[in-house]
Amino acid sequence: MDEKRIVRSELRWVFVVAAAVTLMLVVIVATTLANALHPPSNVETIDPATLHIAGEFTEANLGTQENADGTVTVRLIATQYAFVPRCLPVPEGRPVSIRVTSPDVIHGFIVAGTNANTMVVPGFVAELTTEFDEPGDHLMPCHEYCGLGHSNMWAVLRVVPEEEWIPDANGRMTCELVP
Amino acid sequence: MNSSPNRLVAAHIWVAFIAFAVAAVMGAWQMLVRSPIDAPLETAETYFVSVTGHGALMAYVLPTLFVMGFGYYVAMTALKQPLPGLRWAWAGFYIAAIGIVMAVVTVLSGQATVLYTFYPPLTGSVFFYLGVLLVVVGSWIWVAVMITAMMKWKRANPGAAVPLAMFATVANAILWLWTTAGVGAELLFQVLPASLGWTDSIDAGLARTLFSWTLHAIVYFWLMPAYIAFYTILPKVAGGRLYSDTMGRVSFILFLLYSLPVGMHHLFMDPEHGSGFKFLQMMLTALVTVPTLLTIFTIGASLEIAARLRGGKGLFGWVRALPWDRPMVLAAGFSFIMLGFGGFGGLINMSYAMNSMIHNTSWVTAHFHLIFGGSVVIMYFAIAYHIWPKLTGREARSLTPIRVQLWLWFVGIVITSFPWHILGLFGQPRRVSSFDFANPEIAYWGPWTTVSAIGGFIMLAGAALFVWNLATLYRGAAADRTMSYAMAVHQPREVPRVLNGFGLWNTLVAVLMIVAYAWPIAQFFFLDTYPAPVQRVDVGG
Amino acid sequence: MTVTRQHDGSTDEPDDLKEADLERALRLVPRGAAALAGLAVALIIVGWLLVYLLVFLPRGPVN
Repeated sequence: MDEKRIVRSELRWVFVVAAAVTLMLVVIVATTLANALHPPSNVETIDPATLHIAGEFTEANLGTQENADGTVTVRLIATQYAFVPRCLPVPEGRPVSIRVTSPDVIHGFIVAGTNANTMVVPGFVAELTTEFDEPGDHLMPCHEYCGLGHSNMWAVLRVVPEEEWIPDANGRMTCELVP
Repeated sequence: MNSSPNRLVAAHIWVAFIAFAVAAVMGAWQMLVRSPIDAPLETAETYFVSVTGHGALMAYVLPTLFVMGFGYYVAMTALKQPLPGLRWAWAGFYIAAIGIVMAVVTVLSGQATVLYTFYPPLTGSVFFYLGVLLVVVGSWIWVAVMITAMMKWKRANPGAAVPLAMFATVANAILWLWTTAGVGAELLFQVLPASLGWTDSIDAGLARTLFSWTLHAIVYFWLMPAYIAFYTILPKVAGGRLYSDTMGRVSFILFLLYSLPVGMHHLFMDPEHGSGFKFLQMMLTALVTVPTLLTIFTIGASLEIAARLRGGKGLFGWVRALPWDRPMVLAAGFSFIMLGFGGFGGLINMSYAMNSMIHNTSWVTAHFHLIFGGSVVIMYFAIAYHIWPKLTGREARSLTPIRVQLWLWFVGIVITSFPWHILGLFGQPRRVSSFDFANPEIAYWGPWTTVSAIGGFIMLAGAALFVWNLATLYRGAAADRTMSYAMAVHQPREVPRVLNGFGLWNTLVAVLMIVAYAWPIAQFFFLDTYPAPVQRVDVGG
Repeated sequence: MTVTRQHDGSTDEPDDLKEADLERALRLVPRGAAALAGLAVALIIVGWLLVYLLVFLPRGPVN
């Protein structure tokens, strides 16, 4: 058999491969543009040594805050070996931005069963925005090794139905974990 | 093993597989710890010591030593010339061996429980990092020997095509040199100074970026021996010929080009990089699927030649005509199946925003255990089984224990990794020692985790039988020591210069790496970054 | 087709395949390989699409 036929068959296969990869990329690019999707990528620096003293991540500012436009911002700190605060209420079906940073080592979290996922790298503020459609408690484990206590580092994200979503006069909302 | 070069090869492969056996025990035990079943010695500390050891042995020691040993063997048998720098090669072996002992002792004594991915600002004993660095230094000697061997052969055979097995081995050596630059810089400039107490803070974002430089390309370094076996050993063992030598060269060049500028797909969820470079490296990652997809066609066609020669009929029926009783063919079949499932998981990982769904969950663990533990390591087994008679001069007494071993490994990895995919979609994080299965939120994870642990013990049985086979089976009839490689349908006498060397391709790698990584690394020197305080995990810190 | 002995040394031990047999086999090859590899790639892409559209996107936006 002549070598040209082999090369031709390989080229036909390259065409199939290119079509398959292109199809995937088209789906990714189309949905990314249509929904303005992007992974948490805000490249915002913060001094891990002083974040508890002043600024956005002091204790009084942590937790859930309803904004004037009805969206919600959740601020928390990931530290060895806990999330502060440990219970995070969010409203069902509304855009929620989670802003998180670390004063010590690398952490991360996923809210189980959702697309809420980020690394938490000391020196940077991670921010992600998503919506939660399933009311109830969702476990939120630390998903990056941060020391021997890592496995016990969990928070709970509580998705609250709209009718039960009653923030205080300052737009603040808190929740308690039942032991 | 009567001659020193053969001893060199066997020494590397034995160290690789002893490390593998130790790490396999650790892996199975870790799965028990994560499951609802009680494990002996179960504490957070023993678990993470074990994870660090399992990762370092499986990711650094097993593949590096195997690639080195197999590379020396290919250089001697494919080029049919003595290995240049045999003493250097032994020196590299002993340097790596010292490094392995140093790192393992440090990890087992609990002085470096930082996982094999280091995770600064966590900082362990300097001896762990030095040990890993020594393994890398040993492997750099291997790189030099591989390049020297090819250049020497080219001078003796001007204009002739470098045999594909050696061409691919040198591609891997050059790939490895590029790969180690990232982790090497992280260790030298950030981690070692911290572990020596010279610095008290580390830029964690920069460290992660440098590690990501290494983190994907290293996987292709692990994988190359499997692909070398697919292209240059399997077609012959199956009774056919390689369909296209040219496509083999093209695929190995594409691996060199595209496995490097893609490491940031490990950082999709990281806050220290913008979405632009993440998107760019996602597009480049899509290209790295191409050489693997070319390979499945070319090797499929090579196997089809063998099957048709054996009377295979039909559009799909020819598959049945392959000599599945031969270990190399059986292993390759399993390898391709696992590559399919592992590749499917990998495509999901690389899909930009979709990474949010599974990042750092058991899904990822499933993906790389299928690809590396599955499709690659089963080919390490097959290669060892194939060359052992040529190294020892004795055939295996029976092939049955070999077939049983390959089946055990395949079944074990499937039972281990399929539940992991499901658990990952549920949101089960990886690298967690224990779960509170009494919590109703995650109680349903329990049974899946148990099934997965059973798979882990089947794999452990496969690992044990493998070492047993290698140690005891090769006492049969006298074996032909000649190693011969598959011929291609059109065996090249000469090939274009670009398909016979790496000058042009090295330049292109440099260009791609500048495009992909120059700004992501440089930004840390322009941004107002704040390094994180070093946190020592070893005693005295 | 002729098979030449090589300079490159890699075929010092040529296999014992008969050229006529090889020619006959190559009349069918790579139809089977294309079918098998094509099916595998198609299944993987379909699986990927299903996960992307039916699992990932319904779980909410990522912004």
